[in-house]
Amino acid sequence: MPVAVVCVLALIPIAYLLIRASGVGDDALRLLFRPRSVQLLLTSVVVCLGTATGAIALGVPLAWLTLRTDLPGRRAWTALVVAPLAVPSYLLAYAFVAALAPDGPARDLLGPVGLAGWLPGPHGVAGAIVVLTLSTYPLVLLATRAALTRVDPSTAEVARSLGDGPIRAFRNGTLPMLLPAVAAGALLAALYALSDFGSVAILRADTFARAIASQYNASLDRTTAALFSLVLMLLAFGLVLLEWRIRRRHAIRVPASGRRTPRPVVLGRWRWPALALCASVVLLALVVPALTVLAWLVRAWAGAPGGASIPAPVADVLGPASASIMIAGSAAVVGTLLVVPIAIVQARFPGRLAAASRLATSAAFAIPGISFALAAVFASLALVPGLYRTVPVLVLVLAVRHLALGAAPVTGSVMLVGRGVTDAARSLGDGPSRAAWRVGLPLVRPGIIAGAVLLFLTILKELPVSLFLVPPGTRTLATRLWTEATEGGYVAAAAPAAALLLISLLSVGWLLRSPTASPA
Amino acid sequence: MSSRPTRGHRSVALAGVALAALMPAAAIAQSPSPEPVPEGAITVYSGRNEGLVGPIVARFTEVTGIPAVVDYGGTTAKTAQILEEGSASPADVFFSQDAGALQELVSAGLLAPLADETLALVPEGYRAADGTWIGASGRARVAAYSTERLTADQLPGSILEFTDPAWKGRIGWAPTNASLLSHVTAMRSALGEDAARAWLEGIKANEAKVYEGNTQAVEGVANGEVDVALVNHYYLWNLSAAAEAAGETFPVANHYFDAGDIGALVNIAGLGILASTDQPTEAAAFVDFLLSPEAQTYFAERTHEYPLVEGIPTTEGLVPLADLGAPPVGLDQLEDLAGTLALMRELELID
Repeated sequence: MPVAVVCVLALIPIAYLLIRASGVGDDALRLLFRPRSVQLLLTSVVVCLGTATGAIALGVPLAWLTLRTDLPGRRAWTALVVAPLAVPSYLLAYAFVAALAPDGPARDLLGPVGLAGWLPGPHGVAGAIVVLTLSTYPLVLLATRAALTRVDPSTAEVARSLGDGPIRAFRNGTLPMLLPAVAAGALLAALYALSDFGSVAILRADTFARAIASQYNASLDRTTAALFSLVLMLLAFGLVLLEWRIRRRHAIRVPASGRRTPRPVVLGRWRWPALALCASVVLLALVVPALTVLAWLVRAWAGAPGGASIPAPVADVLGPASASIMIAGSAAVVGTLLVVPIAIVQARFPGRLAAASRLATSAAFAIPGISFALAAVFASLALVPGLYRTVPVLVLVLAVRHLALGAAPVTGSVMLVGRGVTDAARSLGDGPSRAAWRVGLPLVRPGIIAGAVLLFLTILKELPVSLFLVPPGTRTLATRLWTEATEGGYVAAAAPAAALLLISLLSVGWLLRSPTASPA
Repeated sequence: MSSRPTRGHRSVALAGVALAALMPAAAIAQSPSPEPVPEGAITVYSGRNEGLVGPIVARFTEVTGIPAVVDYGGTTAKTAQILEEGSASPADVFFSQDAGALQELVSAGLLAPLADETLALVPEGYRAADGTWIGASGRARVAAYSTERLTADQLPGSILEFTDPAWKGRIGWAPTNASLLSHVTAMRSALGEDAARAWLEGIKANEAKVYEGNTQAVEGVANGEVDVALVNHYYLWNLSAAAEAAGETFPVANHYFDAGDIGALVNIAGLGILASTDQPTEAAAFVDFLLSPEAQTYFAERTHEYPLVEGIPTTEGLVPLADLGAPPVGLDQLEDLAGTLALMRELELID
């Protein structure tokens, strides 16, 4: 029942798009069926599959390294490799464009070594895949991490004792059990890449989502944009079904491990490449945007009239910062509450309802932001006009938009709880809810926490919905950053960008200190 | 910790979790808005950014005693939102970056006519003939060029000359930008459909580099990606001020097209009052304040746009508005945006 309600909520934007697209004329249809549209669609497919592949390639090794090995400085690396989750992809794109400009700092740095000419330009499909990979690999990482904490390490240990090296043991002993979580994380990365508009626009990669944003931007053409959004949604459905098949083929019910802490894998000389991997990812995904923001801050400081009057911008950022934390925090809590029943249905009761909830939540996440935001405007005016542009509606809409994101790690961890465990509790006299509470909950807690963090960090940087639905007069860090940066006001964008990064880093750091999230 | 939780512990924990989950919900229910809105405030939807609009809105409240909350966002995003909201819009006033967006709202019947005294402040051509919107500041279309790779005399007097193959690979533009689209509409209306198409085809053949917005295009000129960018005149000041603050010079200058050339179009940022407003008097006071000498001087000095009310000096180094000899295309004539979009889509310049 709660699942059905959530599904209906997630389906509202689709209903809106159908209403808008129903007014479609021949012109819009002709626009959809011209060769250029096919080209845009192909670009979107390439960007989204490239991003998913990249996110797996970074996310899975990083999850394993930071959880199951003796990587030096593992705690710090864990925080550092998760933190890029909070870097808005459009900020990362700005940073890459600035760093890789013909006279930008990257070329200045590599010029003396003769490598400047070797550096690629930031623009185009390849640039978009790199930036989106760096923005989305934490999705795979967190999902994998949550599953990994619950995978019994003994299979891998047996493999090692039989002579396998650490990587081989991981591949044969651990990876198959992680596949559902990895696939779920990769699906999110793909859906994000499909719907993201900001970074592809800055990087000039012609994707379908960018075309949709242009349609709104240039012409306020809501009908054509709705039609195109529906096409994108069908593409998202395709991805969901693909992931569904992978998952069904590899679904392995793993007996829940006890609370045994696995022995960390000794990396030996492999720790150098491992450290290099961590360092380069952190450099690109975190240090480059942080330095860009720092450069803006320096300019802001230098340009402040009457010398270093930095308190003004700091005070200016406090309001948006507390609004952002309050909104993202509430939406993360609401989202997590909505996610748990969905995750249980998806993990435990595969059937129509599970499939429907999966499609609905994925669609809500994959529809381009501006279409989703306008749908929310429409729906909230039609259903609860008195609450239009109030925090409760904003929080609910943000939560619904990101359900797929929160559900992934939770579903992954629920799947790892064998039915036998709760059955055992019941055979010992517990009622079903008590069994779930006493035995199930502790086992899925890492997944729930991962889901809540994902929601918090993602909603903190969320843009389109906030731009349209925050109460008039309320400003969030992300809306401040975006409206200033698009106007070339990098100086004004500096403080909100810095605050956004700081809050994200602090919350990731705080989170990873709590023992439930990192049981090692 | 191996001690088993007792039943009592468990219910305490349960209550704790429930409370923790309910607290944000309660907080939300208590406060509909994290930043409290003053009683009787008007709501302004602004397509212009906070750094610019914030200070002058604060002055408005100081001078008139009318509180105002401003909702910032892109001009097109806010226009789309008002179109979606219709008469339920919380907005009283819309401050737009572009005449075309205001004209969209007029077409949807969402703007109320302004008072004659207000309209009289701004010369004809910079306001709607039917009095539904008014320009607050003017922005000239220019070619921003690299002072490192070009001198002023190497630039053409007419924008039409940029189709010359000599400019191949050297032009930057933002074809989805509202000002550019309005400019193409003006070309179609002043020169005819064929001439406008020929110009667009020429620009396309010259492989003009596509930027997301004018700022990015001017940055493209500064960092060497292109030699010229077809943009509005005022981006230069913002970007060069930032560069100077960092101790660098910004190697870009503005080139104005010849008086009377279609390149020398002047667009506006302007204001309209929503027909659905429940505070028409206060909304009108806001519009009037932005046309007051104080606000006009502020815009001239802060954004280096053209003040549209007579007697306000323009910023230093700016060609006076009267000398631009802007082509005789009324901004409220730029209605056929759909035709421009169809043409540019056909040429695959936009999606």
